[in-house]
Amino acid sequence: MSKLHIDSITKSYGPEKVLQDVYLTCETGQIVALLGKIGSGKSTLLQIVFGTMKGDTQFIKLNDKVLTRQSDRRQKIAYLPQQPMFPKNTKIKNLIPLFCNPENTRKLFNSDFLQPLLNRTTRNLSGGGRKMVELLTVIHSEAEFILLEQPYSGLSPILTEQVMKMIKEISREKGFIISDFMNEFALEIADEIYLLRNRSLRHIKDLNELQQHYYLPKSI
Amino acid sequence: MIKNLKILRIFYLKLLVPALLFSSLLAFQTGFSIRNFGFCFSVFFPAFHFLIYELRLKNEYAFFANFGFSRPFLWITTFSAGFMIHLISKFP
Repeated sequence: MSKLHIDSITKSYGPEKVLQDVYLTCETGQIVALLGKIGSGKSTLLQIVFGTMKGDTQFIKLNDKVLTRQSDRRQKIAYLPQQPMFPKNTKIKNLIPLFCNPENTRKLFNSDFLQPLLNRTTRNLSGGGRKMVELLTVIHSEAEFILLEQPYSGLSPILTEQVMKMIKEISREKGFIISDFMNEFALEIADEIYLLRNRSLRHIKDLNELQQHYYLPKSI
Repeated sequence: MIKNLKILRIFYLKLLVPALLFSSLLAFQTGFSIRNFGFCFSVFFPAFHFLIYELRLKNEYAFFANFGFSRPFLWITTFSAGFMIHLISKFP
């Protein structure tokens, strides 16, 4: 079992502090949901963990190795941002093998959703289609930990349900940190739920606690 | 290793075609020589990196970061490649 240890994350944009001493752990076999309002710092936190952004202070460790450079995260942590990231002019069938091992590549090549799209580039796909291609590829990648930012945005309810089932199945071997606004998805599949509020992370046990922290209306 | 080369190929192919084209055009305008071409390439290669990846396709950096290629690494490689071509073109 691998463990991703995230500690002492502090980040400011100019005078405004976004994250203050954030601490979080995720193990393989676990799904961690990260809830928070717009601008609460969820994306910033995921980008610091992934290495594309530097925190003012940060300590990120995977098992016994402290991760300092981007190359330290290679094949260990994969990240799917909210915005499309796949190169637009490269065919999907050429992108999938770069992320996945041969077994998962075969699985994706034969999947009902991806098979008709393999010879297309992401430039020719709809927003939802592109999101689905990127999401399926990243969750099947070789990395032990997967960071997903708003993974269900742009997906139909049926696809969302299918993806949630897939994530749940894959999470037996991998760790997931998923940032989302939608508490119902988080509550359904997550093992641990955290709310990012007032620059710090709070561990959430149930729906009532989200109401207490003014994340959900009292009427629910 | 082969995977790394494939990923870098995806990144640099977008820069290489316009940089080669514009370097050739400008080198012809100024009386074509390998030395002129090398100098133009060392300017256009980073310029297209900036125009394409910093202004238009900034999100794609996340794709390359998934394979361990950080933004500073890609910039250093671009400048190094431009500089190498410039140096080589000085000693034909």
